[in-house]
Amino acid sequence: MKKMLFVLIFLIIVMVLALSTIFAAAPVTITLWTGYPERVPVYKAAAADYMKENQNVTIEISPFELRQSEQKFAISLPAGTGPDLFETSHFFAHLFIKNAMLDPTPAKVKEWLDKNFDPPYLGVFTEAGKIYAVPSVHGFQILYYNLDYYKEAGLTTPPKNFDELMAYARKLVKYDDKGNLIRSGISLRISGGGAGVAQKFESFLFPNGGSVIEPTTPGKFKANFANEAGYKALNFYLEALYKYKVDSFNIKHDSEAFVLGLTAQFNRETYVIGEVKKLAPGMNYGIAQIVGGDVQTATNLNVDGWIVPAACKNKDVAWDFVMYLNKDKYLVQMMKEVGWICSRKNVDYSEVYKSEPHFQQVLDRPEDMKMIPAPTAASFTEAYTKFSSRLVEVFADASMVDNKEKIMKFLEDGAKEVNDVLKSNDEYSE
Amino acid sequence: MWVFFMKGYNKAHVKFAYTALLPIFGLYLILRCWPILESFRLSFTNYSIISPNFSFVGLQNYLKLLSNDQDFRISLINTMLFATLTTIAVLLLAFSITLAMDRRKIKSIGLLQSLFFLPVVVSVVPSAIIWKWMYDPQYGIFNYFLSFFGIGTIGWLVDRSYSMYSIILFVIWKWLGYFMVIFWVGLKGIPGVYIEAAKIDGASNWKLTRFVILPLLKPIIFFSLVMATIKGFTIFSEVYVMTVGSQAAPGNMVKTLTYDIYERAFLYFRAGQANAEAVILFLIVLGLTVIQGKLVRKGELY
Repeated sequence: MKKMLFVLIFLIIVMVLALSTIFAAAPVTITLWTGYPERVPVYKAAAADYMKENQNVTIEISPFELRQSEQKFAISLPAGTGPDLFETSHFFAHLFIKNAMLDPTPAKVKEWLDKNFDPPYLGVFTEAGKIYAVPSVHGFQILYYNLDYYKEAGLTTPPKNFDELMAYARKLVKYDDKGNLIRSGISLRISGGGAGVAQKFESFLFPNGGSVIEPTTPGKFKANFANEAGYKALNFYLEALYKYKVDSFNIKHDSEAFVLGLTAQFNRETYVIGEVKKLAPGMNYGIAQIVGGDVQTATNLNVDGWIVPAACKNKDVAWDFVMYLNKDKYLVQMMKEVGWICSRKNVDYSEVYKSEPHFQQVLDRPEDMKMIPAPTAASFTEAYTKFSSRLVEVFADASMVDNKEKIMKFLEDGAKEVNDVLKSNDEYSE
Repeated sequence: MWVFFMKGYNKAHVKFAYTALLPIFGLYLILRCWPILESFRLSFTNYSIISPNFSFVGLQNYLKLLSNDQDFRISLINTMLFATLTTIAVLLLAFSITLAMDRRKIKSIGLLQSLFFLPVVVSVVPSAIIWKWMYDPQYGIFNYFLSFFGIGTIGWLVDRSYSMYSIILFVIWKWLGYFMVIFWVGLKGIPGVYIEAAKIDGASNWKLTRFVILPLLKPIIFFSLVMATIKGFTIFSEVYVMTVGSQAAPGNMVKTLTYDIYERAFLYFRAGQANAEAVILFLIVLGLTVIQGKLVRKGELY
């Protein structure tokens, strides 16, 4: 009898264990790669909460330097050894879409995206009517200006057009006794490797209807700077460097110069608000939309997005975590602690606005401000990097100032090179 | 069969030696030879990394590079300038300093040697970042010193007139210790009797160096020349770090062949072209090594 009872108990235990194993969710590990290490604290917070709610899920986050991350995605995805989830820019994502390495978002996610995101943020991840990513953060250029320096120069409102921008720069620039520039009137992007120089140059092309490359027909592009817009933009840089000497190669540039008080104004993406808050919390500065031109008031739009590669084994969990990441709590944390603005709509940022009103100014942008997304051409990096190299060379040539013939020749040569890059990828069309 | 190459040795010992070396040979084949051969093969294709499909394109990549490719042309010129200047400067400096240290019989020579060798053991990236700061127009130490002489700020990395030379200076600092050690070993290897004999014969310092030390150092000079040339032609990290960011060196002004290979392969995803460029670089370095070997070996080898 005892023996029978023992066997029965043993069988019950075995059955309970077997059933619990069957019904318990299988362990799932999601590997997440991002090229933006500064955002990781937010992702870690979300992952910790998600893992608490879903005990079978482990989320492993690996941050990389931006360019390094792009190389890792490019090498690992075709080999099928990529992450389960990764974050990258919209123009880089199109390389994978075109090479069929991504699946469109599932119906459930698509429905959620349509409800929660405005079309411009979804459009940049759309190909042939299908959406391939969930937008994370986005950035566009705005004008940052030092209010103390403006006050000192008797300026009360930000500039509205290029003439005013240069006139302001001339009032704001400062030299030492020996004539060395010690504060630039405007900080322009005039050096460095990569595509950055051309991307920043675009904020001077857009207002007059130009761009480095512009879409012509679906999937096709052409250079759009060997024209009046290109001339005005390039001559602005040259005048700033050589005619009015409001900027120079011998002074610090970019956000670093701004937080150190070495420049009075400059164009940059919205993330600088977070940087200023961290590095120069007491700084008295204003922001405005970048100056308009003869054609429009426009700025660039770069959207980063979450992507689940086709090779991911746990797509449902990966997409579910992406939607979880878009909870108000984490988006507010992203703006408050990191300074990036997320793309989901109807988020209550009032708490952040109280401590950092600049964000509200950024999000309450005027109706007439056009946002031009970076082109989704596979040739993007090559075309922009090559044009950047050319620009850097010409910025060093003082003989070009106001020389329309020389400037146009330079722009035409540059446009030919950009068009050749597009042609070599079968992306060119007039 | 392979035992044939080691006549006079015990066959069993030779077999054992080769068997023991097999794993290393295997690794060498997989990690060294195979990638080089694969690079040759891919240089004849339109491989792009990002797409698994690619096809044979014959000599197209080579023709593109050698006919009208501006980036390749600029990179080649920059690389040659860079390799020539760094090789000459670093070898001359290393030889002169080592010789001076050897002659003077300095007491704290160990400390001096360590100081010179220190940059060699520091990783390239952190040291390049430190130098980037030293070159900073506002807060850099170079401009700070120049300010004592009333010289205004210079954008060492950003200004195209200085950017290449600024990187060369950094590289000389980085490599000097390595070549000093090589020359030091060479100098210590010269038997003292030759030096003494020359001195007794009344040889001046210059004659001693020119007719005794330099000829005896030929193998060391050849080795250093080859190493410095290869290092100069394959420089990458130094240029990469110095060109990242808005305060950095302008792209094309300092672009070298290895940097261009990196850009083509990993930024533009034109791996076929990048491999063709790597093959050309390989052939250039190989050619130069052979020429240098012939020049240095010309005449008597001691």
